[in-house]
Amino acid sequence: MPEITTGRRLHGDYWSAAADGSVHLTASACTTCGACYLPAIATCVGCRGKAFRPKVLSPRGTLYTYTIVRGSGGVWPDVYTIGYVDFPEQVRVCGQLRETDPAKLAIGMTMAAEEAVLYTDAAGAPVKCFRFVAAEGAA
Amino acid sequence: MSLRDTYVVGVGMMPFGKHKDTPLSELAAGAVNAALADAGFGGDELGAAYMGTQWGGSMVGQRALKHTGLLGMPIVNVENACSSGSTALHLAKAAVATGLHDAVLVIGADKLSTQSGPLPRHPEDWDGSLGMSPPAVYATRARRYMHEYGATDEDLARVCVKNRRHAVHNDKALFRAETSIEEVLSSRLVADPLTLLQCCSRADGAAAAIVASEGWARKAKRAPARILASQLCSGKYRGDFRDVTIPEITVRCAQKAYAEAGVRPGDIHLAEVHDAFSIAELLYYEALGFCGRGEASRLLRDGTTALGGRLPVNPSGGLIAKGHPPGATGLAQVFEAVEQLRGAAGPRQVRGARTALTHCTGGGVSGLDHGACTIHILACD
Repeated sequence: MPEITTGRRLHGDYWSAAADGSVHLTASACTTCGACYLPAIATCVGCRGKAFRPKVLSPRGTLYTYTIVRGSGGVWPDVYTIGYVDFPEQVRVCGQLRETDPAKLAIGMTMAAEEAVLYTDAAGAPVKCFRFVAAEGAA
Repeated sequence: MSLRDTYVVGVGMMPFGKHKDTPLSELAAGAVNAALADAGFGGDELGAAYMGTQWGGSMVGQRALKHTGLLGMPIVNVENACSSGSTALHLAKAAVATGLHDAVLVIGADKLSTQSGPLPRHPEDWDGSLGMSPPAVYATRARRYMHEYGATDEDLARVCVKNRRHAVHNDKALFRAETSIEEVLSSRLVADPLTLLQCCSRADGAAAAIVASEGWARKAKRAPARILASQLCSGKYRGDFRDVTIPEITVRCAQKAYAEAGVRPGDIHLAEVHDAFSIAELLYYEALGFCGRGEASRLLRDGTTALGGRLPVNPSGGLIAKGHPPGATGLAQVFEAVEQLRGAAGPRQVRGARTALTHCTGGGVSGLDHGACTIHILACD
């Protein structure tokens, strides 16, 4: 994983960028029943197990729903897209999307993760996180 | 444990609006005095006070009651996001039903006009940290609902047109002018498909109610409304594939409320539901059992939920027209329900209204449908 020398990695425990720029997400899997969570949780909803291990998610998921937000204020850019992506490991992940053109977005699209600057914090530092981008093939 | 019957014996409400120069405590005190006058009570009847607020800060009940001469009794300050005021009502009802007190005061208030933009989520919340603001949450629900059931932008806009039309006759509402589908859809996009007029507005406001046992209800100045059901649910966490078109917390809360009241959805004569955004009202028709899955747009289009229809929803104008001071909203719904049940709602009166439902839900927590939901069912003979 390349060292990130500038900016802050938001939710850095949950994503890693490889040398080729691809990003994988790491969920937390219950060691008792296998249920996956992202973000992690202290007690499994299904079985109340309290032991978890990291679980790298499949590289692609399916866009469940999304919205293009405008003029939200605060730290956010004037226009950004945010939604939920469903992964084969039965976990839904909230995240921003690269695409802000409504004509190029649709429910059911295949998505992969990339690294991106989501916003600049109050101190002027870029805040980096994973973000979803359209991908080829099925999840 | 046998529970006593409980009644709402007085209601009061300050107009919702932009009261920038009036402190929150004074708004709340005004609603309290109105509720006391409505009940014909002097204040010595009250055994405790329950105060709901989301943004009013510490000791808001004490700050409000300082203006009313009613300090000294137990005051419980309650925060449950948009359900704060209605959660206070739930606690008040329980206190009277169990015999802890014979009459109690319930207050809800918030003041939001001094800020702008969407209400912030808690900094620790995952979805919020990535930009999933309240309008974005509802927008994602709207997009998925439209995808699954073919609802249109016009269907969403019709919620606003209906509720704004209702509010023309409500002097407590922030927006009292009618609007049109064209005007709603041409207002600026906030989170597509939701436009600005489909998002409830920040507002300042307060509402209050007095809950009492049968003994005090008989002494009240105006007709009391019996509380047939008072239910409070918290959301359930899921990390997997929740269907966002089914507000499960409302479904669960409604089932419990109907069972407690011994009524069915078809027995409800009017409902005040939590239309924080246009899509919300449509989703709640289905969750409350007013129609089947995917049928909400039809219910709206055929006039069933408009004044004059079989089941008017949000005759007050709802959050869309009244504005939304979260702590006060649940009690403003009860104010409307009680006035309707008394036959005192004037030009927006629902004819023959004897049973009313109020529904208040909200609180953005990642992985939960909502944080809290309250449903009350009230009746007058």
